[in-house]
Amino acid sequence: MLYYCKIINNGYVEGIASSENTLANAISESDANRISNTFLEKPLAPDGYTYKLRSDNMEWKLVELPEPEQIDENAEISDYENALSDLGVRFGD
Amino acid sequence: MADYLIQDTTLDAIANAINAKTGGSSAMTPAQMVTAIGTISGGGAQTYSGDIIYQNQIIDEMTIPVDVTNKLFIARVTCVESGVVDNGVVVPDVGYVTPHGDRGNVVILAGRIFSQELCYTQRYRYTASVPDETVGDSNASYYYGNDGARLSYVNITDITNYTTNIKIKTQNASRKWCRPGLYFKFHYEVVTF
Repeated sequence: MLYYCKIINNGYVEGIASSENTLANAISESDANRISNTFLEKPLAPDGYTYKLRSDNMEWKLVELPEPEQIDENAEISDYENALSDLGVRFGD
Repeated sequence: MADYLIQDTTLDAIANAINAKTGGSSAMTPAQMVTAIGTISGGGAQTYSGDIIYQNQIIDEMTIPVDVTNKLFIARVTCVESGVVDNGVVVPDVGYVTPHGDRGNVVILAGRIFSQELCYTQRYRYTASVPDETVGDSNASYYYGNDGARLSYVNITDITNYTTNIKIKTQNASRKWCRPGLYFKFHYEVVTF
């Protein structure tokens, strides 16, 4: 038997979990499917905004997206490789 | 064993403790530690597993629905399916692998929820097989320009909500690994002690 639950973060439903282990605040399979379909039918948001699914009433809420940050990706890759090297793991293994 | 775990929170200590439970005598590599997740039994260890589906959402934080309150834990999270949401239908990605030959990203973490210590994170770049213009939402290219639909490095920078579930945040809050138009299915395995 599978148990289902909503993944809720900061008042918004972000995902659906399923497990053979008992889950807190479990919902039925039909409810899980209904929420999954709701995600698929998310309305298109204007530029700079997105819709998030409120956990209290399961309605979409238009929220503003944060400004993107500039990221030095090469630095992060280097950090990752260094961390693996410290642990004796060869990068790419 | 429990006292040992509480007094020393280093990766080696945790690995040694796990190894002891599995009959070994030396510290394990992270890869061996992952294997141990599947082999540990008894001794108070509790194993949890399941799947999490994210779709069409902007997300930078993954929640694993396992209560790890005041417990040492190890978790593995693997991306097992990915795809795009096209006109309300999930179209799975097929026929690709990452540069590491992996299907998706793998996150391994070990820590104590009450100490916020993070011992090890393994990160893989994930690259979906579709360009941005196919994902069907103007927000999709908001963060990554024309760089394709991509899962950022998943790094553990914080564990929040000490009383409930494991939460994994991306390294940078602006790196939303799931965006409108994308679909991800993760499998999680958690062992608590």
